[in-house]
Amino acid sequence: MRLTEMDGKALLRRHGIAVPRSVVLGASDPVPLHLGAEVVLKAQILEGGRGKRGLVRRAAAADIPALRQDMIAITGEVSFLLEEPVQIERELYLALRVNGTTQRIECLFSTDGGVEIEQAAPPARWDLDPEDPFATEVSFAAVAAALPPDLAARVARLVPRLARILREEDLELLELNPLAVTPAGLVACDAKLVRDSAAVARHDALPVSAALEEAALTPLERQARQRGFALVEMPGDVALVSAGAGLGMQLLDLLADHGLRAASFMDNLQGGPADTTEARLEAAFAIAARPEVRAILFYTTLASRPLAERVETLLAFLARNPPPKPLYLGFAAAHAAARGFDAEAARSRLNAAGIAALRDDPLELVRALATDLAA
Amino acid sequence: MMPPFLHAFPRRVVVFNPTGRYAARQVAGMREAGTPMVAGIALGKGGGTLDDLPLLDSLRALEVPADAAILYTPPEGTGDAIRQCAAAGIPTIVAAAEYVPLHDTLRAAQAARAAGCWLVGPNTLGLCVPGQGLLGSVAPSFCMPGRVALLGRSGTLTLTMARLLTAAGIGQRIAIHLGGDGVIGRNPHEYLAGLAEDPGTAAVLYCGEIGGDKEYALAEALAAFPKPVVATVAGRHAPAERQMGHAGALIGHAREGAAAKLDALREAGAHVALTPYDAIDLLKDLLPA
Repeated sequence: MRLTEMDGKALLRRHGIAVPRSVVLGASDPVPLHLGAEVVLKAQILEGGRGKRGLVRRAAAADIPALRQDMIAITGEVSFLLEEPVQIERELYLALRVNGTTQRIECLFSTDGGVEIEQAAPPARWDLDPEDPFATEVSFAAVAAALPPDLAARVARLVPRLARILREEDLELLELNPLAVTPAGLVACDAKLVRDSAAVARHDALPVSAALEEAALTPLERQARQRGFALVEMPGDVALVSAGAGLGMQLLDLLADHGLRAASFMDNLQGGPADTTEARLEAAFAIAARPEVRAILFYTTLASRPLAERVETLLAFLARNPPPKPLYLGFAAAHAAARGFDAEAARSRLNAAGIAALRDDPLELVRALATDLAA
Repeated sequence: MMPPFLHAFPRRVVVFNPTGRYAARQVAGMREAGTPMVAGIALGKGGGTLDDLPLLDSLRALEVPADAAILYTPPEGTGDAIRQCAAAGIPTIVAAAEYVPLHDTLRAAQAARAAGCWLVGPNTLGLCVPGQGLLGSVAPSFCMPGRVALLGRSGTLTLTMARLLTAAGIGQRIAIHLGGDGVIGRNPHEYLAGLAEDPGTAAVLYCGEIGGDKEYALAEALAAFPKPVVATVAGRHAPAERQMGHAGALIGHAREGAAAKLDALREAGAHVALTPYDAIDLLKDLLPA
């Protein structure tokens, strides 16, 4: 879960990390005057590149209401952060993240702060153990070549504190860009924090960040979340009902290899019910009702979940909801899933209900679909 | 280091939290496949049984040490359960749960590694050594004994791949779902050293996916690996910046996309296949008669 700048900075402030003095403004809140005659207005959206879009502006406090209206014209109604300007002597880049391959907390540092890091020289990288009593010294060694000793020491002292925040706050990424060198010390002028979605329930809710994340979803994607599965909609011509990330992506690839594009991808979602077949079919049928979508592809591999249950769910659903486009069905059921009701039983049960296109090989199924659509 | 289950299939397996509906089904499947299970760890149910499997309140109550543990512990308890197993020195630990918090896994994976244990998962269907046994739910009926080591990042794709290999007459030395999370116990490249030494392995089939950089570490390790490796990466047509199911399956940079990963693997000497079917064709050519 990506945190807005205001949620990220509030979190950092709570942990004693210096951030600019600020207030959060709604679309029509009065502009406070205690931050000074000149202030910085920042629209709170999750996408990067706000500066280029005119969504971060320094201006006289008196001009803020008009500026805010200009920004609302670009973003729609969002929250705003109004900050006291910071006297910046130098801009640095500092990020910490979990590196899954090395299984370490990895730090990245660059003296080219304030720009997109991909466009700068490769950053210095080092691994950090927050429990290491010499973590500060390890970080000092990593940044010492790029900074004067006193500044290198200040950065090095900050890094283990951030590493502990990363862990305590269940963050995947904590990026400060720029981390400003000011007469008063190091100040995090912008902050990108990403919280591990598996750990969101351990922490206080962040309504603004959550609302923005939800706003980025399509209505069907939002509905899918509420019903306990993950849906990704894409421009495409085949509504795909998938289960399992790898197999879903494989089906998407096989469709593309046959000149077809999946209009959907589905997988389980944390906290969802054990079986969301009906909800997935509903979403797929809604997508399939669109004129550009030409077929529905349903394929699933069952290791141990009973095949009989899946087939009965499917038949009950189809009895109530005729598919808006031709439906291509495939199952592969392992021995444990097919106990007492094997693939042959499934086939005859589905055939009796008038469903003929049934394959256990995903490629054959996609080929059959592609051949029919090309005809 | 040789993954312990490659050296010899475990003979004393404990299962954590075996009594839930999903777990009980997996336990029945494992016992049917011949996996030697000695006890279930289920707090509050100690002294009882699950289909004749004795239940204990704690791992501490186990009198003779286990040589493998499979965990159906819910995500919030998985990190602790792994660390218990590591502290007990259980050589093979398979953690099934999806949605284990990242930092819990990080700490637990480090503990397992430090204790010399081999952790598979979290977010795994486990592994099947065809003809020998099953830890998890990689369906034995999809597998058959043979000489290809199948390593997959996705559970459903590992199952599908095992089934397609078997249908094509290509048996497996092992079919293992490494885990779909960003942090998993052992990364793909760490399996290579053991597979190089394993006389039963003639070739490796690696099924990767988009997101993260595990395939680059694998590519680096290929230079020292003496056997043929066939590699696929699912998500060749996945959109960028969208999470495709797994916590790790998100293309944030071009480097995390399938094309870049396949290029790196190809340059490192892997036989790259776009689809499972291409992989099977390649394996047919590569496997010794």
